[in-house]
Amino acid sequence: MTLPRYLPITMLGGALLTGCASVPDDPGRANVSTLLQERGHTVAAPDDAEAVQTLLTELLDKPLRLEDAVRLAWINNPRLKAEYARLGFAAAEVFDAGRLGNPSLSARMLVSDAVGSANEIGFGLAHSFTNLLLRPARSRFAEGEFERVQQLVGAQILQLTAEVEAAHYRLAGAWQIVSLREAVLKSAQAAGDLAQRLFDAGNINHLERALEQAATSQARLDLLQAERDVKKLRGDLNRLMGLRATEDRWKIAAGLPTLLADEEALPDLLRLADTSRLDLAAARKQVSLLADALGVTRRYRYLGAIDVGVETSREGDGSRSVGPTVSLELPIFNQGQGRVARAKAELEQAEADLQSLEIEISNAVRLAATELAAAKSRAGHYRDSLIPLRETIVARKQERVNYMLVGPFELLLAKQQEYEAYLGYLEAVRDYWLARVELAREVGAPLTRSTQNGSATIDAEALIQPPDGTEHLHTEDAPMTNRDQMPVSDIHHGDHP
Amino acid sequence: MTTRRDFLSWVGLGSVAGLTSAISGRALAQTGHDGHDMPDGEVEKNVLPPSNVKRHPQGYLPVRTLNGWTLPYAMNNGVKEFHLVAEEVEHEFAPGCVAKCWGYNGSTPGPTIEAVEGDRVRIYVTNRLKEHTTVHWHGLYLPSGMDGVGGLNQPHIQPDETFVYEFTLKQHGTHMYHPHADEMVQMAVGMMGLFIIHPKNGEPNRIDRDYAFLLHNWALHPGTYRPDPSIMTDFDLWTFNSKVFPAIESLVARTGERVRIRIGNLSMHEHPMHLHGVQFWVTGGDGGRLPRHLWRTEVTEVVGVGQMRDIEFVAIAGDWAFHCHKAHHTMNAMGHGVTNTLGVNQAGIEKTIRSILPGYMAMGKDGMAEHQNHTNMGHMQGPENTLPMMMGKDQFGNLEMGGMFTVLKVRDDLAPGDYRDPGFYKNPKGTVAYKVSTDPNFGQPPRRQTA
Repeated sequence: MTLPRYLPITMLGGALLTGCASVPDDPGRANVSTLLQERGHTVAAPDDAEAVQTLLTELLDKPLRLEDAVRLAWINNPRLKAEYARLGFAAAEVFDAGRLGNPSLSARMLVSDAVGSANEIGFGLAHSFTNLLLRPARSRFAEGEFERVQQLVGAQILQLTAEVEAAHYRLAGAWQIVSLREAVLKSAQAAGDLAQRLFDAGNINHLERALEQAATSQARLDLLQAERDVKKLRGDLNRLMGLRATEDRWKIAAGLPTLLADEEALPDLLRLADTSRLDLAAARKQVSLLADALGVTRRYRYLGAIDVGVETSREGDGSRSVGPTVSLELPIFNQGQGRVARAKAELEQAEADLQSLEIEISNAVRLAATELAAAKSRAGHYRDSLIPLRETIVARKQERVNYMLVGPFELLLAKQQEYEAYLGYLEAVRDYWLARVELAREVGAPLTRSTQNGSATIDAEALIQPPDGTEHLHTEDAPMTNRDQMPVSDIHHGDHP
Repeated sequence: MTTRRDFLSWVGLGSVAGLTSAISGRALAQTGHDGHDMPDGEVEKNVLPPSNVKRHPQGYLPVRTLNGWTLPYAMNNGVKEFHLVAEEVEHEFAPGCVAKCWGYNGSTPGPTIEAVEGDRVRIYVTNRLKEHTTVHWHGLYLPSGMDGVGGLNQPHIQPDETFVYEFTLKQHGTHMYHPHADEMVQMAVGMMGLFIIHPKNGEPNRIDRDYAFLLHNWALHPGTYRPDPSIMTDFDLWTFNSKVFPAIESLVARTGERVRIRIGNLSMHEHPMHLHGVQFWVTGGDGGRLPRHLWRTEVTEVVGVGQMRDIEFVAIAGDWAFHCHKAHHTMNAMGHGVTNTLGVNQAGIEKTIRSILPGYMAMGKDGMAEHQNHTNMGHMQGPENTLPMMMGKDQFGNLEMGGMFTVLKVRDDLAPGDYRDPGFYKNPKGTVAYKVSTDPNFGQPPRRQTA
C-alpha cells in the first residue's frame, strides 16, 4: 500500500482528531461566580478540602454574623454541590455538541460462487454531512444552554442564600424574644415570690397568692415556648449551613440591625429586578435559544440525513475500485413540518413562560416592598409611641409606689407590659429584616442599603437594662448608708448562643 | 347695738378705758358662770391683764378665720352691705399642692361674714362661674325667698348676674353659707364660707380668742390639678378651711385665756374633733349659745355633716395637738387597698425587683413611719402636685401627720392679740418623757398569762 492511498484516511482522521480536548474539570463554576459577583456576592469558596476545613473552623469559632452564615452555607451545603453537578450535564452537552460526529466504517466480504473468482472485500468510510453542516448551530445551542444552566444554578444559589439569611434573622429574632421572655419571667417571678412572702406573713389569702403565681406560671410557659422556637430555628439554620447535628457548636451573633433611614424606591427595585433576576435572564435566554432553533429548523427543514464518504473495494477479479459515496434523504413524504411546528410551539410556550415570570416578578417585588413598608411602620410605631408610653407608665407607677398610693404588684405588671412592648418591637424589627431578605430575593440581587448602618444593632439586653437608679436608698438587706449611688445589680443573662 | 362702754373700750382711751373694760369684763364674766359646774382644777382667775385687743365697734371680738379672712362691709343707711363673688380660684392646699377650685372673692373657703344679732344685712352675690349658682344661709331665720335654694326659693343666679339677698339677723351663733345649685359639685370644689353672728347683748363669758374653721374633704387625685366632684367617699385631702397640715395655721393663746373654737362641717363625713391638754365645754353651734346646764364637757366632739359646734376652754400652757380623730383623716393622700406589706420579709426579693426597677424600695414591713424619713430627704419622687402622706416636724422629730391636724400653742408670755406663731414650747425641766434604756429586755414588765 502506498502512502498516498492512505492519505485521505489519515487526513480525514487527523482532521477529526483535532480539537478533541476532554471535558474541563471546572465546568462553568467560574462563570457562575462571575454572575454572582456581578450581583454583589463575593463567592470565594475554596476548592480543596483542607481549605474548606480551615474556613469551617474559623467560622464556627466566633459569633456567627449574617455573612458568616451565608459563607458557611456556600462552602458546605451539599445542595450547592448538586447544583454544580447540573453544570456538568450542560458542559457535557457542550462537549458533545462541539464534537464532530464519529464516522462509520463499513467492511464487507462477499464470497463469489463463480469459479476462479476471489472474495470481494470492500471498506467504506462515511460521515454525516448534516452533522457537519449543523455543527455550528448545535454548538451555539449547547453553549447557549450551558449559559442558561449557569444562570439557573446562580439563581438557585441566590435562593439558598435568601433562605440562609431568613433563617439567620429568624433565629436572631427568636433569641431576642427569649431574652425578653426571661425578663418577663423574672418580673413575674418576683411578683410570685412577693405573693408567697405576703402569704407566709398572713397578709394575703390562698386565692390572691394563686392568682399571682398563675401569672408567673404563664410567664414560664411563654418562655418555654420561646426556647423551643429557638431550638427549632437553630436546627433550620444548622441544616441550611450543611452541618450535621453533631457539628452544632456555633453561636449566633446577638442583636438585630437597626432600621434603615429610607428604603429603595419601587421603580428602582423593578428595574433592578429586571436586570438582576437570573431566572428571568435564563427564561429570556431560553426564548432566544428557541427562536434561534426555530430559525434553524425552518431553514433546514428540507434537509434530511446526508452522508458522504469514500468506499474502496477489491473486486472478485482482483481489481480495485475506490470512490466517494453519498446518501441523501429525500424530503418527499415529510418536509419537516412537524419539526417546525414543534419548534414553534416550544418557542410560544417559552415566550408565555417568560411573560408569566415577568408578571410574577413584578408583582412579587411590589408585594415584598409593601410588606417591608408595613413592617417598618410597625417597628417605628413601637419605637416612637408605644415604648415611650410604657416607660412613662412605669416611671409614674414608681412615683405612686413611692407615696404608697399603689402596691408593688401593679408596678411589676406595668414593667411586664413594658417588656411586652419591647417584644413587639423586636418582632417587628425582625419582620422588617425578613421582608428585606424577601425583597432582595425577589429582586435577585442584594440591596446595598442593607449594610448602611454598619454594625449598629438593637439588642434585647440593652432594652431590658434599666436606667441607673440615682437615688440614695437603703434596703431591707443593708442599713442606710451615705452612698451616693445605688449600684445597679448584675443582670443575669442566660447562655447566649 | 353699741354701748357707750364698748365704744370707749374700742377707742382705747388710756387707763379710763382700761378700767372701764376691766369692770365690764368682770361683770360679764360673772353673769354666765356657775361655780359648781366648773371642771375640776379650773379656778376662775381674773389675773389676766386688761384686754386691749381691738374689738369691733359693736363690741365683739372679731373671729380669727384660720388661714382665712373676714369680708369687709359698707354701711348703707343702717344696712350692712356685703358683696360676694362666686368664681374659680387658684388654691394651694399646702406648698407643693395647688389646684383650680371654686370659691368666693378669690379664696376657698370664702371670706367670713361677721355681723351682730339684730343687724340688717344686704348681701350682693355676683356669679362669675360658667354655670348658675345660689347662696344658702345655713341655719338662719329669714324669709323663705331669701333661703337660697335655687328653683325653690329664687331663680338661679346665672353666669355674670348679680343678685341681692336682704334680711334681718334674728339670732346669734356660728353659721355658714354655701351654694344650693349643683350643690354637690360646687361644694366638692370648694364653695363655702363662715357666717358668724355675735349676740346683741355681748358675750356672757368674755372670749379672748375666737377661732373658726370649716371641715371639708377633697378628691384631688395624685398628679392632677383639679378636684374630682364625682368622688363620694374615697377622698385624698381633708382640710380645715381648705388647708391641710402642715399648712394649717396654729391656734395660739396665752395661758389662762378663754378660747373658743367654732367648727363647721360641710364634708361628706362626721369628724370626731379631739383637742389635747384640756377638757372643753361644748357651748353652742347653729342654735346659738347653749344654756349653761346644757354644756357638755368633752375631749372629743363629733361634728356631724351640716353641723356647727362651738367649744370653749381655758388655755393651759404647752403644745397641744388638735385634730380629727379618724386616723386616716390626719394623713395626706394614701392609696386605698394598697398591698399590705406589714410583717412581710422582702429580703432578697427587693434586690431582685431593684435589678428590674432601680427606684424600687420595699416599704411598710415594720409600719409606715420610715416613709417620712425618705420623703423628708427628698429622695423618693412622688407624683407631681401631690403631698406625701406624712409631713411635719417639730422640736423632737417627725410628726407624721397630714390633713385635719393642727396645734394649739399656749404660752405664758403671749401677748393678747398677738397671733404670731411662738415657736417650740420650752418644756419646764423634768416634764418631758425621757429615755431610761435602749435594751429591749430592760425591766420586768408583767405580761398577761394565758391559762
